[in-house]
Amino acid sequence: MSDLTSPAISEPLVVIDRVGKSFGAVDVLKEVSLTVAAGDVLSLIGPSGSGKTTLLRCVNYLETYERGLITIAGESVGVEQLPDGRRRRKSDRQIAALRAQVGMVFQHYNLFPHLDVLENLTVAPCRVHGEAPAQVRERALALLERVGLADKRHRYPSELSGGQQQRVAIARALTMQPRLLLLDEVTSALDPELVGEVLDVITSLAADGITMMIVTHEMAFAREVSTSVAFMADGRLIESGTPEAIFETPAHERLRSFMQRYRAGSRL
Amino acid sequence: MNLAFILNNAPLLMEGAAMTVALAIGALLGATLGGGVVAFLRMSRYAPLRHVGTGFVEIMRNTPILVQIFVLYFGLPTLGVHMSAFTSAVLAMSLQNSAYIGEIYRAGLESIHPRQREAALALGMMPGLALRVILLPQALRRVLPPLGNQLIIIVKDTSVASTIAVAELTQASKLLLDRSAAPYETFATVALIYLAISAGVAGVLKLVEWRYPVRVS
Amino acid sequence: MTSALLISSALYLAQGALVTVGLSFGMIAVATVAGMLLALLRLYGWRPLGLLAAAYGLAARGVPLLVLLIGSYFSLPYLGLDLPLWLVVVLIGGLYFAAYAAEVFRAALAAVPRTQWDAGRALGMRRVQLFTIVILPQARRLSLPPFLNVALVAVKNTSLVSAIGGWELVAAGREIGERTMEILPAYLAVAAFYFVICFSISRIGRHVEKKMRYV
Repeated sequence: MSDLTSPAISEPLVVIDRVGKSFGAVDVLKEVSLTVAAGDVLSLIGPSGSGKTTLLRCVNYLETYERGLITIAGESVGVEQLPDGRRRRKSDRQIAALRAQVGMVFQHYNLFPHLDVLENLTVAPCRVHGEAPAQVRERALALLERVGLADKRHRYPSELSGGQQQRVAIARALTMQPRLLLLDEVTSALDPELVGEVLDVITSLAADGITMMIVTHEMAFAREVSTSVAFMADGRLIESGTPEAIFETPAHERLRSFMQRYRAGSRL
Repeated sequence: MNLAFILNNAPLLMEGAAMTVALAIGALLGATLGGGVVAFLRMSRYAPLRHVGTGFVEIMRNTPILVQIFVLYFGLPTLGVHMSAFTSAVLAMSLQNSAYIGEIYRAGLESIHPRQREAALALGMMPGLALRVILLPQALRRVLPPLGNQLIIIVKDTSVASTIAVAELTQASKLLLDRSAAPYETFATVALIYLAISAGVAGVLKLVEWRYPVRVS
Repeated sequence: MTSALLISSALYLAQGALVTVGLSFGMIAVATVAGMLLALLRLYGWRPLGLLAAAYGLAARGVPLLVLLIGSYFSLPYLGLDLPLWLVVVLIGGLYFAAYAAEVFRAALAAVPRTQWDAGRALGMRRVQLFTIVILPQARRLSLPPFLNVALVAVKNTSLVSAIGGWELVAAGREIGERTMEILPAYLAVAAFYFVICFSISRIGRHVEKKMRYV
């Protein structure tokens, strides 16, 4: 997994530059700018409808964006800027090639129900990269071992608990050896008693220096695991900084009231 | 019971049954492939293609197979297009059933949650690969039961080919009924042969269903 | 073709279409009644009778209608029954499509949640009351779209009557074709008549379904 732990370089891995997106008349993202360096763990927090999931989905172009530009390792995501200032959608092949370098874990796991656990991990490396099955299999088994599910490799997703399915989904994303891992509310669909096992896996990935962008409602987790935290509301990036700065000394009024409600235990 | 009569004419019936199976296999291949084209048209991004698909489905579903066979076999020669009775029957059955099977495919694909496609794309798959490896395998498993019903309907539709004198099972039974005084025996035997062919198709489909079960996550 | 010939041909086809519509309605009526009976037997009937109904369904759905029509056309006289052809067609076709209708009704009745039965019992309804007041109306709505499909197939299958010497739309088309030597236009006109009949039925069906929509 050398790709994931490449030493810090001067250029950030992900650059989000004044990105904007509209659904009809509603601006869901307004001039959002952020950077993520290799090895960083960035948590996106904020109330529902703040645009944090939309932003995350723009990073691998599952969601289009109309303004600004996202680049990963210097390569623009989804669109290219022409010299005359116009934008052109990249080809399906280019977009797929970029997605192959960006892992994503979804709220609803989205495992492939017709494939067993091991096949869920191996299908993309074999079919997208054309890697040798034996080699992929070895890597996949190591990753299943790592998420504690090697004994379930021949089970089907429907035979696993939600927490186990989500750990498989994390291993599936990692089998592609991505440079960046996107996690979209990965514990929101889980029963409370299953949340811990998934968060433990993510914490151990962070300790290994895997670059991650995490959308989450688990504040204690965000604080523990992140190297930086960004707070969004109404499609805007309101405040970002170290976990300590965001959680201890929030500057912006919106963030302070969000934290207060969070501490009061109300649903966010 | 006049079993001797049936036994004496067993070769005629067996030849008829073989022709029925040949018609069914031809139409089955034509309709399962044609159904793919229909589904592709009906789900196209481009409105004109969708309209062509819808128009085809409506025409096929609202006119009898018998009339379609007559148009091909008796009507087209007036335009200088000649086909054998066998070809006309297979073509008409393929066209009619590809409309039904196309709708079955479409319903199957639309029943797969969009999140599956999204997950495949997020792993770097091209849309075509996602369709082949992730979406179609799931959709095909779900459509096996209705597809099986339609395939049995195709087997039964082959009897209509007797109206243009294709020497299949129904035609054979008409010959026997004309020349004999054993209507019940002939009738029962022919019905049983059709039942056996239908049961065979249903059995194969059950095996496939068992081998490729539908799983949900 | 002169316009007079065109008009007389169209009128002739329209007569055939009327026969087709009549046969269709007869078949569908028999199929509805017999199909409901089969569905009730399978769901609530005495078990051996239910199995018999299931076996009947399997057999009927495994044999072509044309074979059944030819078979009964040839064998009924041997039984000493001298029924008119239209009656044979309506009865045999109706019983054949009853097997399909039964599947539709059975699925629709089974799809009404068990809790509806509980709710009815809790209100003190008797079994038959509960069925007719609570279950049947809900199942009727569920069964309408698939039943329409069966009905359309029944309409189309009335064309087989021409293959056993009966006179209806296809036979009328064949006569027109032979008389005018315009075979292709004649059969295309027949197809158009079927299209109008079937399309009207599905439109009316959709209208009824919309009216039944509740919740």
